[in-house]
Amino acid sequence: MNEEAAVVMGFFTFRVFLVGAIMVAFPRIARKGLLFGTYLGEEQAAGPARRRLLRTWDMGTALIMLVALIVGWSIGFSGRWIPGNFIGTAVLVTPFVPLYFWMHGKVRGLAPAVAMEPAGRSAASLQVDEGHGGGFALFALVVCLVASTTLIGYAIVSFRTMPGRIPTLANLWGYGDALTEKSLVSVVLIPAYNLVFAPFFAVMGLLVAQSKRSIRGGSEGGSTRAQDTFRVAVSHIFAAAGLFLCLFLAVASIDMIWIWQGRAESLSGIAIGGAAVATILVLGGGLFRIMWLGQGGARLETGSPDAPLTGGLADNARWILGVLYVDRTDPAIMVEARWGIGYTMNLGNRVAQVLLTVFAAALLGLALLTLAEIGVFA
Amino acid sequence: MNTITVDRSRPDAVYAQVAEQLRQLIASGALAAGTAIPSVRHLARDLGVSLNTVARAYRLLEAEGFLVIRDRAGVTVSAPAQEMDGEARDELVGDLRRVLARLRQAGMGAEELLTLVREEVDNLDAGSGGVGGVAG
Repeated sequence: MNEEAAVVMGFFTFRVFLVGAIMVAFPRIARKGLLFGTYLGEEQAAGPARRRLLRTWDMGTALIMLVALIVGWSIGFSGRWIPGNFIGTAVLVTPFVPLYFWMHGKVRGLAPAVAMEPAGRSAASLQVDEGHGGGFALFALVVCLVASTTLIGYAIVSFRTMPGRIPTLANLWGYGDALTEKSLVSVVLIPAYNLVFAPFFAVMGLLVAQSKRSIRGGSEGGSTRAQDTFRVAVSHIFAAAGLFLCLFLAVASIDMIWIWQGRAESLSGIAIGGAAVATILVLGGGLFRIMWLGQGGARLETGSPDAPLTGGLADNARWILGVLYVDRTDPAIMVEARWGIGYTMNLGNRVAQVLLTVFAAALLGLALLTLAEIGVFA
Repeated sequence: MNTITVDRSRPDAVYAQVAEQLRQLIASGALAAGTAIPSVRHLARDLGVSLNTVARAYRLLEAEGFLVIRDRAGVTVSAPAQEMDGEARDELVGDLRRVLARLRQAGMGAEELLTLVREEVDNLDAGSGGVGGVAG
């Protein structure tokens, strides 16, 4: 196994343990009353059924991790380390989908047996929503838009000074790879990716800062404060992700143009490496923090933790499979997720539908252009 | 920390539920004069009801003198009037007469009516919030 293969498979192994740890944590950091995407009520969700279900989930997670490691490393050791990485990751991620649905189905089976909050009932705090976190997200959005459009302009202006054949990719060590005839599309692809992805994260940060607050009654404001703290943390992590992605792609865009012009041999290791390390530190730290706070700030909730959840989070009728929130009458674009960590879009909201459609169309367009550039359709 | 609850399965309109709870919280002093309350957009989002529903409740309370709505400063609880002008007083006394007449017609005796009014006034003075508001 060469050095490059060792790096890729090392990352693969790290990924397996990271995903496994997150999956084990997910049902444990959920809001009280929620279990595998279903609102069971505070008492029932903390009872013996919970322990039984968590044991099943943990064993399933351990089994998936083991199989992923065996498959990934077996393929990697046979010399095909790139397929080993991809297939191993697919084997790691894919089985969690049916496993979650199976667990969700089991919990739904328990739900009708308990008295649920009446559908259509919701509560709201009268504490003014300051929307903290939105300022940083807005700053990130402006920076990402300005940087990516400027770099598209720089790529177009530099087009004439490039040779006839240019590398379309850089390998793991930053050297140009896959030489093709230059085209205007190929030289603007990286900053175009920047224009789509980095602002998307910043917009998510903005929306999270304005997301719906699903509170717990009788908590002396502790529920609202916990939710606000969590919301700010998630908004910041989205904004930071946008900024770092923008930085990373901006450095890559400039380096690739310089490689095309013959002013550099490879991507700047220090710049790319520095951006990668900073990204891992900041986003890793942010992820750890929001996991530590618990979903919706569950670990910060004080006062009356046995008081029922209110609003959309407690209404099973508004959720499909515990992960998709659909309510046409709810003006909220973003709502707290029932499963996992963070927020999800209200798919019944017109603004959310437009945003998702625009992003999906941009993503599809970029994917088609990229495939065309590397000759898939030739 | 004050919260309000709406129940779409109840026969009374959601805007009326919002207005009634805010009215009680303000009258009882749980929401003091000058206190800022969430904007129409934020309250509608957190309650999961339409913007028009909350806007209608706020407009009603503004007309009744409970809220002050300013574009930039947001929505605040208005200070109680120092003195009531004659026309407004006559209108409110007329409302009270109509309610008392309906209660009497519904079979409530004079003593029972007096007890009810006293209890409601005590509730306001005690700042308990009366009906509707979910303290928490």
